[in-house]
Amino acid sequence: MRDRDANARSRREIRPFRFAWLTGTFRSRLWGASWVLWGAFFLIPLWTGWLLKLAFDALSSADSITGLLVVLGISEAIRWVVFAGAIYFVVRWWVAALTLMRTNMLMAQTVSGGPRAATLPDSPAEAISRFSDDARDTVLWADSWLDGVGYIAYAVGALAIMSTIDARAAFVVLVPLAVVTLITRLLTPLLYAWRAADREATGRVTAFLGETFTGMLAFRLAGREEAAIGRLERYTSIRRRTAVRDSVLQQAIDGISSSTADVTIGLTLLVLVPSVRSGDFSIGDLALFVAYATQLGQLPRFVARLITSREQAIVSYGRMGEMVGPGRLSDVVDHRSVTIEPGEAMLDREPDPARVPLQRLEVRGLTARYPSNGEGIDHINLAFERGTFNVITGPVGAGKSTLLRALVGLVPHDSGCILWNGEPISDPAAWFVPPNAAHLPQIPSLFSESLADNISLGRDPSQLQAVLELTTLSRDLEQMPDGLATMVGARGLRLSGGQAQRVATARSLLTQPELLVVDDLSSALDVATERELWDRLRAIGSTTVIAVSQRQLAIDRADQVITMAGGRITSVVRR
Amino acid sequence: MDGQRHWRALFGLLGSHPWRVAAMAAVLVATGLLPLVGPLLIATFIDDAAAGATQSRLLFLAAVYIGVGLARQVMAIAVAWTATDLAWRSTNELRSTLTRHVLGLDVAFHRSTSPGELVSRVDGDVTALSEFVSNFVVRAAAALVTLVGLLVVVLWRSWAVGIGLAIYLAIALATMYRLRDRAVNEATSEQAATGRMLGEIEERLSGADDLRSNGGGSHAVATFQRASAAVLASTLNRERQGVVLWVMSNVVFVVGGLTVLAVDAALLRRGTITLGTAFLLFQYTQVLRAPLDRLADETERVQRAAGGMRRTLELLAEKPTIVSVGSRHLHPGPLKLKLQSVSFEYADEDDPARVVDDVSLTLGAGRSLGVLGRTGSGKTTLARLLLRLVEPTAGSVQLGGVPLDQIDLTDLRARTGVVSQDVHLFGASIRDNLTLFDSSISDQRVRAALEELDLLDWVEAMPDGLDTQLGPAGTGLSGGEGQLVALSRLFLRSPDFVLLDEASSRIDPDTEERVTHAIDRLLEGPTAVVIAHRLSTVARLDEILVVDAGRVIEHGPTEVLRADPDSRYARLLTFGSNTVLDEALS
Repeated sequence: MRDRDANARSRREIRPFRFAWLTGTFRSRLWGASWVLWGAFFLIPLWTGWLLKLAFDALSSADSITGLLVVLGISEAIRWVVFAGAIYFVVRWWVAALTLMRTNMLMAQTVSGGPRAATLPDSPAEAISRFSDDARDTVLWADSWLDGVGYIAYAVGALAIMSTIDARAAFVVLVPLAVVTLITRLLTPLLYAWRAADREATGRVTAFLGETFTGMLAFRLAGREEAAIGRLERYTSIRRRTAVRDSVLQQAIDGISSSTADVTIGLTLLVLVPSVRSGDFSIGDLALFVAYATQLGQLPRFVARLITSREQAIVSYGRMGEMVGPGRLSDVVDHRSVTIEPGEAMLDREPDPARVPLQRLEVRGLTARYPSNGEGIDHINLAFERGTFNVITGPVGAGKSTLLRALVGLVPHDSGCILWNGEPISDPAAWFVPPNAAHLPQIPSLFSESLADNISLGRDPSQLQAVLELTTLSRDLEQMPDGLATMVGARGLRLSGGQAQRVATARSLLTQPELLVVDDLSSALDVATERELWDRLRAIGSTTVIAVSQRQLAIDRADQVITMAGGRITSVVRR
Repeated sequence: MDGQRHWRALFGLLGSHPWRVAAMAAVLVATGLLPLVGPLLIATFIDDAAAGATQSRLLFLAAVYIGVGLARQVMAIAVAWTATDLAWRSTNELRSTLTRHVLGLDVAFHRSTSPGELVSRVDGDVTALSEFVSNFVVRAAAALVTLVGLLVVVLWRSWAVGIGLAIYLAIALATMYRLRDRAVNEATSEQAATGRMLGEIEERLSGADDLRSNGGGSHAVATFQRASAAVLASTLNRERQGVVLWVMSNVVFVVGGLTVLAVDAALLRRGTITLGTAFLLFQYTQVLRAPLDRLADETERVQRAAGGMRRTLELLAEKPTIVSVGSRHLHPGPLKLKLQSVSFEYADEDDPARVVDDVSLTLGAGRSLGVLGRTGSGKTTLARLLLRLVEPTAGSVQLGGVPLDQIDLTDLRARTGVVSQDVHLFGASIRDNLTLFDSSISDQRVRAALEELDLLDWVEAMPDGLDTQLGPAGTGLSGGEGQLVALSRLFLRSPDFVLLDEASSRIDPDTEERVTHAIDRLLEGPTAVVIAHRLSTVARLDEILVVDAGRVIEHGPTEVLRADPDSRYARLLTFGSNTVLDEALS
């Protein structure tokens, strides 16, 4: 129930026309050129239809039609050129618009705090369908207006010309169009619901596949590949049913429209019987009516396409809205810099915030709970002095990682505050970034780019050498023929576990952050490397370290040892 | 031609559903012939009107025309139904085949290919195929039926025009077909660029926390846009081909239509045809135009499907080096482990350093061995060799007296168990996480395994017990809790050879006590190899192996090594259980 309410609320927030307009005007020149060319593309057939009428009239009176045929041929050729131009502009607009929406979603997912930060609604693999299918469907919606308007102009022109020949017949053409448009309108809510169900089924398939491939070794080593396939087949057969249902309804709506052309021509013939018998209506007129009516029969199809693509777009806007955060749906189409045309410079990295030297960090009454299971941290009070080495220890589920994550803003806190030199930090996620702070998680993420980019994340690489030494990575680099330019592979999997951890460590140290927050290095670093790292960090002296660790060597070096259990602090020992 | 192999493979998919294919074909024939009826009716209408037919005769023709229009609609729905169902049934089989295949590929393959990219290949590419079958193939087949029917009618009305039309269409279609094949390459590279771009996004989303807390968001966006620039370039290339195709199809119809009009004029002048037939002949040149135009609109789908099929076949051509050629089965009970001069080096790396260098050892059935070594000493690779995740470049690994590559792979996986460094948890129920989606394992067995680990209380305290859903990638459990799940998985399978790879490294001391107890019980039966950094973990094991730079530098019974003050193990012990291994090892 609550889900449905939330759906209704987010649906109200979706303003498909405004969003389509914003999508279009994002590249207004390309978009404008496309309008003009598509318009011409649709209007030329009005002219060629008239030429055809002249040709048939000439045929029935045995006149020469050679001149007419030449003009017809030239007119068609012009239409081909117009088409090629329209495609050229549309494609460039299309990819730019897709990139814009993807950029907005990715930005919201990766930005460090601030009002535009959002969390992932589902798994990363599932989110891919939001970046591909949903983005595509909304651009399709904006795109359908390009054809739609050109086509409507054609329809108006055609009806006007037909009514000069026979007003009654022209009027009859409108009847099936109206009926079909109405039927289509009635069927679309159903299409909306079925389409959403199909998307959900698709999301389940892709999410399951994503997790299966990520956890490939777990299945292989347990010999449970077939169990995974069994589950996959359950999900794919559910999706088959939703897809078939969806496509039958879609065809019913599409097909009603294309059979309208036949019904329209049939009705015209019915109405024209008297004037044909009396000879008022020529074969040329008939040819023109058939040509126009065939095209006009597509009108409900266009209208239906507008309606269905609007419905699809609403679903898709909703799903993309979840990526940019509740209540911020219009951020999806917010105009931002997109540089993808050949020769355009790569987007500049946003500068890091100014450094505010840390004297004392304080946490007062910090409480953060995961809504899913109620676990988390409860009323944490702590203080950390400049340049100290602080170790947090405690059993599994004690809330150590949660404390670190709440501190740097990766988990929102429910109450309490964080003070930097006595100043309360209202948005920790935005504050706790380099050069003020860096967070080194238990399992760091690497990306498929060069080693240097993985460390610098686009920052000025002048500090690279220093952190390579500090993390003993320079030794590993000697073994790599490409050095810093080495591509680390998908998720950095081409590196060993220890190397990946050292790269992440180098990343967090690059700006010499005021505060370094480290979550249990022991899973990937052996004791020697970890000890070396702590000693080197201590030698620098200016960085305040808060580390979760079970290792004696860390505890031995600590200025403050904090023990946690059950989300609370059980002891604080200062030395 | 290479392209034809793709299409043959695609249509091969449909072969397993003969009845559904037959039903679809029947519906398609009707759908293809109906569009020809309309122009015939109008031609009759024109000639009858000219001959002064009765009003009711003309009204009847008009009414039939409307009836045919409605029948077309019904048939269109029937086609959508049969075609979509068939397309999804057959491609779902392909999805299963591909997933099975990918799961069997080498670890090296998975290292170089992101899960996001694999999803796009196993589901995205295949969905392109299914849309291709349910949209394009069906339309193309109906258009073909229309074409044949059209030639028959035209030949009947005027054999000269009919023959001319047949020759013309044959040339036109052949030209278009050739152009289409060229477009396939562009589609493949566009799909590859899109797949890469989406794969990168998936990776960035998985690592979003790291990007946020390190201020890397705008860098991620810049990198993504660079990938999008490649997509734009490849899309433009593909569209260029699409435009050429569309224009070609239009040239065919416009030239055809104009020619027929000229021929009409000549024939009318000679009086060999009626005005109605003149109109019919012209209309028929246009009958194929709408379906073929739509097919040209769908060339994107064809190109995507062809690209998808090509990439699918490429994926299927990807061969695992680990294959089940062996058919020998293992004897029941604990298994003896034997390594004979085993070496391993990564083939794809330019650095020829051996990761495992000439290792020989024997571990008796039911004995346990602790492996010690610094990071990068080859422990993990050694583990992979024992599990046959990689093949040794020299020497052989034997289990129960049989070389690994001669053992039936299913048997091998069933009899060996692992807790690896990375525990993979799934966004599914706790039960599915424990059984790895094997629904044949009863809840009773699951509970028994949990009981043994003292975890039953923990699971039952969760909101829905075994039905509790974990978030994506198992969010909701801490690292240590994940390890506990992995251990429970092992308990569910009572294997005869067990490998624990740094299993306890992320478990805190409290939980470790429980786990230690459970592990001790587990190790009572099977032969076991335990790889760990900690001395406390290996102290209870029967034998100890110390490796460095891929070589064995010490191996012996724990008691003997402990008693020998010169042994590295004994020296390590004097440093205390939390001491750096490296110092003692060097």
